[in-house]
Amino acid sequence: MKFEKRCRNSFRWWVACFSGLVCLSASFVAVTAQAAVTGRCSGCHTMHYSQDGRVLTEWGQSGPYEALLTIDCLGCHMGTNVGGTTPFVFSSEAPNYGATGTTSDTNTLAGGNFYWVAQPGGDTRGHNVAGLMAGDGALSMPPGFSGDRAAADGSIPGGGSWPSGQQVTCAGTYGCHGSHAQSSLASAVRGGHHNGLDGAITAPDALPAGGFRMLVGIAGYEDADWEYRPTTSTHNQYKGVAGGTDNSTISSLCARCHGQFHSASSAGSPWLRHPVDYDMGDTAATSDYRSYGGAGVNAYRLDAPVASVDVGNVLTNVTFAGDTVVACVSCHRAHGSPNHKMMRWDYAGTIGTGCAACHTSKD
Amino acid sequence: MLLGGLLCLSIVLAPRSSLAGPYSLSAHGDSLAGVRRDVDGLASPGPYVTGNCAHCHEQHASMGGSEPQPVNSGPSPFALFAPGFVTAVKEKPYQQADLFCFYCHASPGSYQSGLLENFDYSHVFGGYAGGPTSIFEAFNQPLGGVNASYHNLYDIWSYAQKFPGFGASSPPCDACHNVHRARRNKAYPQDPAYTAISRPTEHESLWGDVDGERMTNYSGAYQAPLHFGSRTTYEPGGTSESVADGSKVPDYNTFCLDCHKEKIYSTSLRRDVVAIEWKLSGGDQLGTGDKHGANAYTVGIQMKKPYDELVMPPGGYLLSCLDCHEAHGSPSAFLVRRSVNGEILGGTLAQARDGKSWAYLCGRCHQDDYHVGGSTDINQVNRWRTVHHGGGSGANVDVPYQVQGQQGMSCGECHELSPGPQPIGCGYCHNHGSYCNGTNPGTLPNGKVIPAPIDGFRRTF
Repeated sequence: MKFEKRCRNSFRWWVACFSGLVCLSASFVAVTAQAAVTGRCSGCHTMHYSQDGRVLTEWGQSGPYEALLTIDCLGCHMGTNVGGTTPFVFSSEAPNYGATGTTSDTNTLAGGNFYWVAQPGGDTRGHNVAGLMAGDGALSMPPGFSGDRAAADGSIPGGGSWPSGQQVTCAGTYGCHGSHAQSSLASAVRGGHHNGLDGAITAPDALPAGGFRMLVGIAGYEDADWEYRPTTSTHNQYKGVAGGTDNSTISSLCARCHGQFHSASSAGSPWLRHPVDYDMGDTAATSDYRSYGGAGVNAYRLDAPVASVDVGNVLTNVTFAGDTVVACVSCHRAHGSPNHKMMRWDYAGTIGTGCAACHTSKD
Repeated sequence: MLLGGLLCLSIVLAPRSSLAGPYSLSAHGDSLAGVRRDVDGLASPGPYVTGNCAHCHEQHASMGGSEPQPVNSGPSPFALFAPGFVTAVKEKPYQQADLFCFYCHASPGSYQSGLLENFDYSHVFGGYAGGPTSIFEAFNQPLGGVNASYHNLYDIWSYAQKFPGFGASSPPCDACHNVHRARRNKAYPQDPAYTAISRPTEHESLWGDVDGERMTNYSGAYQAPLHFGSRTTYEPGGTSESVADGSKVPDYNTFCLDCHKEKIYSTSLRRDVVAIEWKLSGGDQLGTGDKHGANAYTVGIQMKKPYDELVMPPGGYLLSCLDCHEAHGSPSAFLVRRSVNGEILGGTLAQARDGKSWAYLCGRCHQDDYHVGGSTDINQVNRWRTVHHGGGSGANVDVPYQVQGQQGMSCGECHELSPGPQPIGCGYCHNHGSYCNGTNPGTLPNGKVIPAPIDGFRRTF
């Protein structure tokens, strides 16, 4: 009872400081800037979805929830990032993104933010996730869906077919996180919150907890604060391998739903689609791509990140030897951005901005 | 070390302003006049600003879940919205879908939002109005009928495979233009800094935009031709005499010779196009260059303004390829311009070697019998007896063939005599690389045999 009272007191305090359910839930979910959630079980779970004969106001009101949770995904992951706590991916107010979402005055994370998708006309600015906003008005299924790209556990989004009008979900059959073999979102990411890894994930297994950001089978180096105000020494290091056949790359994750965009884009010349899982180190030594990050400097660019074969460490500079692999996330934010087509920068509204990070002779 | 660290940090964190590099300075990347594909979701009402990459490139061959117009059954090389070139098309007439660039550089039917017009060299730089209004039309000119010529796109594509950066999927236009750098020369015809060309062998830079890449390279041998209809202004674009020295003209000779220094088969002509030797002097002997190039006239020459100066450059004048030729297409044969040296051609220059149509071109700079003698007889126009045989009131100190009888020959041995001595077709003796001696051009199709000229050998072009 003392704990419950503390919680209620805490709730009042948080309400005084923040608005809305989101931040409130954050106060209950005892998390650190680590992949695995820590703290009291009751921070996230309730045995009976009842306390003192009622549903607590800080809980989600549509329960009971799977895995005895007190609230759904959104309940914990909606809020405003201040660094080092819960990763908030959906804000109720416009996040500060700046030009690229990477400068010291921003408050978005590596995946961006779903806020912009939820705004009027925002369909093109990110993924229209079920429960967060309405479905995409133009897209009834993921563009480029091929239905033949499996995760490490053998699961394929939608089981290989995507029903028209089905919205993408955070996890599960139609989601990005966890196993596609589970229709239950909670089951899909089972173990991920309790056993999640952080830092270098070089050999992911087929479990949600073993993958980069609970993405099954995906490798990568997890930045401790999800790229909140990243620097060249503190950022995600994405996995990328030239050739397009390695299913642990970050781009292979995207290909599970957008497989056609991944085809004819990882081999051959000339490209039919923009390449991903292609190492710019495979270009001629004199090519303009070799000036990525500045000629002779070749600094890792936070605004146009490149992936690497080795994700054991975070790179501050690139050498064009397996560490300049173009990835989907080199250009796009996975969750959403203020820009058309969820681009990292304002591609549509400018002439070549962002593109010139790699296509340096076009600068 | 700290300074280095700060420098690196600033590179990464500094806000990147709008581009000021080659692409945004190019015609296609121009924020006002650049590429703007008029397709739903793109230019109207789409969000992509003018000059944006998306107007030509589709990174995923999909927008909003489907392929935008023009639909070409999926992705195309270089992530372009259509294939670069349909190599099965060996000759004109071209269709818009045969060449990626034609999708926009056509009028009418352009995918470019607003009016896009591209006129020929005679119009833009020579000042002669009219002509084709688009690149597509320039290649497909019907007015000259069988004599209309064009730079065969398949031949360009085929030959350009040898150049770095050019491949099987490249549009042939890429051989001469770097589409990410080519500038709007048509809007600034007097300023070669806005050149639209890049040498096939130096494709990553523009050609003609800086000193050292202009016709002033030829040691004062270049004189810009007159602007159309003017006696006081010059190409390109009507510049003043003070800059008619080639300083405003890209060195088109070096540019064109990247390809045309070699013999190239022409699918259109069904024969080889001769290799051009433009930079050698040496006089009248085998192995020397064309006289319109660095080689000199023989002794004397009768020219029109502005080539009628009493004191000519040592070795004579040297022309630019574009002084006589169009780059894309022409109503005349051999890509000969509609207007040359400020005047319209007297008629269509035909492919056939016989007849005098080739002299429609010659007569723009060289004096015919009408001019050389100060004649008022209109019948002397496009008549070339004086330059070949002397006579009249002009100074003819290097005629190749003396007047009747002086070489022990009669007119009829070379000329058809009915009705009266007929001219010999210009094309038998005058073309790139041509010369006359005892065997060249030798026996003509009509059985007449052309003897060796005075002194036995003449370079005749």
